Amino acid sequence: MSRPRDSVILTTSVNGLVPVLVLVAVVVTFRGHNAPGGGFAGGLIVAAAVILRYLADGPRAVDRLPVQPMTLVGAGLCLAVAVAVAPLFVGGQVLESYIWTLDVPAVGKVKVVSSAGFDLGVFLLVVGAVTGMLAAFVEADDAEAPDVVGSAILESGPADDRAPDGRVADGRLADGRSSADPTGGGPGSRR
Amino acid sequence: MTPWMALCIVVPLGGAAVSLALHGRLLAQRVIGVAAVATTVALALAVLVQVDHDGRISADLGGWPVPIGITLVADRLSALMLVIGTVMLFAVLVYALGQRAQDERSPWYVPVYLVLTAGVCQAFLAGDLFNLFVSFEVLLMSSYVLVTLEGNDRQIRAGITYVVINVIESTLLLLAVALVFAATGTLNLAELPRRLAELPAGVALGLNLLLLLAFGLKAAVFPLFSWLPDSYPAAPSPVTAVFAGLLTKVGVYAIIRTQTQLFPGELRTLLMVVAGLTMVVGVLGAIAQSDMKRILSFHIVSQIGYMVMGLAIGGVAAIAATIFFVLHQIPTKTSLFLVEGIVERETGTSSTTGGAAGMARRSGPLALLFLLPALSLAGIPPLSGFVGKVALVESGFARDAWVVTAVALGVSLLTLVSMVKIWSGVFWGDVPGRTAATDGTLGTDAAEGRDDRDGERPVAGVLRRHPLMSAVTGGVVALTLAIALLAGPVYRYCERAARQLAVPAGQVGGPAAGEARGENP
Repeated sequence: MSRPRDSVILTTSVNGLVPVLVLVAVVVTFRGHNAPGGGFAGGLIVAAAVILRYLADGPRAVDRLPVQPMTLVGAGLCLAVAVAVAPLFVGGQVLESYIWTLDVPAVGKVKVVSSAGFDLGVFLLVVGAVTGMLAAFVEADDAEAPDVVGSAILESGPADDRAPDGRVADGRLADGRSSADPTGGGPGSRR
Repeated sequence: MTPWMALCIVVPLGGAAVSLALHGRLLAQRVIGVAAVATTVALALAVLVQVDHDGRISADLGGWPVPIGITLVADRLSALMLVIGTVMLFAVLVYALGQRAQDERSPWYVPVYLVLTAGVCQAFLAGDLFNLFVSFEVLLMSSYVLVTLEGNDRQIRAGITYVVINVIESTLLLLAVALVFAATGTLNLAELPRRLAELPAGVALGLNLLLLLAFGLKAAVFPLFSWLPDSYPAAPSPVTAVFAGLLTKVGVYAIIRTQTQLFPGELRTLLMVVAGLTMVVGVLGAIAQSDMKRILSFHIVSQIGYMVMGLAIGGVAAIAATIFFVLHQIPTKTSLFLVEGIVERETGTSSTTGGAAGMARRSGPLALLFLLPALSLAGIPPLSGFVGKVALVESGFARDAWVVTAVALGVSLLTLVSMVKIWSGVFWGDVPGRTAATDGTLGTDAAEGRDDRDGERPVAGVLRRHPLMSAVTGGVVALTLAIALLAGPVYRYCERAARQLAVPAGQVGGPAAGEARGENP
């Protein structure tokens, strides 16, 4: 599904931003052990990256996701629960954390903390949950006004960058709304 | 230290995780759901056994000591609530799966239900106020989904009321928790009584009122109840059943906890007034309704009044009576809603003004399954409601609380009236569209036993058409009968629980207990 109108500026900046965001998310997640941050914050940052992609590319950003959001949520929760329960099998307590210090050649001492797995679980869960919500909205929008979904959000921004084909899209949006959804719910109401 | 308590929360959460990962495979989801909740029931029983032996058990999650870590605490009250709560959650889950409805086909039902289970368990095991708040959030979040699972107009409308009122409740609770922490420097339920006693009376009173307001909203006491009869009936029947049986009782549990341990006997008069009004307004609301689900929803409110009344009367005897009453109320209320679910499935309506009439004729056993908990709710001997009410009334007389006790007795009568209304509107009379000519013996009320065989002939086996639903309903009704039958031992347990509440805790983690082990969490 192709969107009628792409903003070059947005697409270009998102292309640059997304890798940075993912990197920042990884850093935030792992520094969360001793400093502000953690899986939740990191997950939100990745989710923000996905939302940016969606703003730039429209619904195909969501269609292109390699993993189903709900699978992520399930996997994240599974991982968190597994890390929580694992200490029981080695005689510890639920949620107990173990710290190993490894000597990695050329890097030096690396501290490995078992509770980082918990953070990773939270990370996956948050990414999955937020993208899941996004996907649900996209689905709902698709059902109401196919094709022009992405632009409906964008159009709340500056309205003067409309290319001629943007007008076509607008006309179609207006038509679709008047015939299918006269009450003006869905994308129209956002403007 | 045994891990049973932590596992009570982790197992349903793990089940939710696996069933989410199995998104779309309904059968596997259901198997996991039932297995997880069944395991939780077993764990809850283990906690109960251990608690009744040791008195009170606590566990620091992850080995972090009290001021840093999260503590789970179970005393006799929480263990009892945990067991009855998980048993109800199990029963209702099986019932819901036996129901060929939309919610059972939703890929969300099982995972969300398991999260709800985890939230309920955590609420009963929370050792500090903040953890209690978090568990309220967990169970509320999942309840939002369950209320609006079918996503039709009616549910969305009711869901908005429900969500808004609960968000307000959560905000108030969070505010109260923050203020308690600001004033005392701790949120640990074992530590708080000592610190609260040092506060100026006015500050303590303010905190107390704020907590009571938040929990009262959740428990739906007068005048904070009007959201309940508005939102619960819109949910699917098995969801309403577990909400009615459990969620308001989590609020009641929190009120019991705060009013006995944190602020013992401080708001007695206020609670007395609230109790009386809750009972009366709830039951009058119930009488005015003409829909089985709505009548029962108003009764939730009315019965909450009895629990608050026991709390207001105070003293070990009254608290024990309250605990017993909560214990009786959870399965009784649940079973009534489960019966309602079968009626609705069978007739497509739960109205008491025709449509669903003549259920007793269609299925005598179903009528019996309604009649037993209904009479129990009204307090007819020898059912469990009678035991609970006698205990409450006795403690009321012993403490010279004449007015509220008289109100309680009067409300019992009105409860019976509204149950009769359901009985005559839904169970009695002729099946609409079918003349009474099919059998000569016009149903006399005393003859359910024989009536069912007469009534079953024309429309064969309502219960047989819904085997799983009926079996579960029967099981829950049997549980209420068992509570009545074993009233002696059960009541003695409640007394032990009440005595434990009367003694301030304070054992778990002394002041500034130890320093952090290792590094920051």
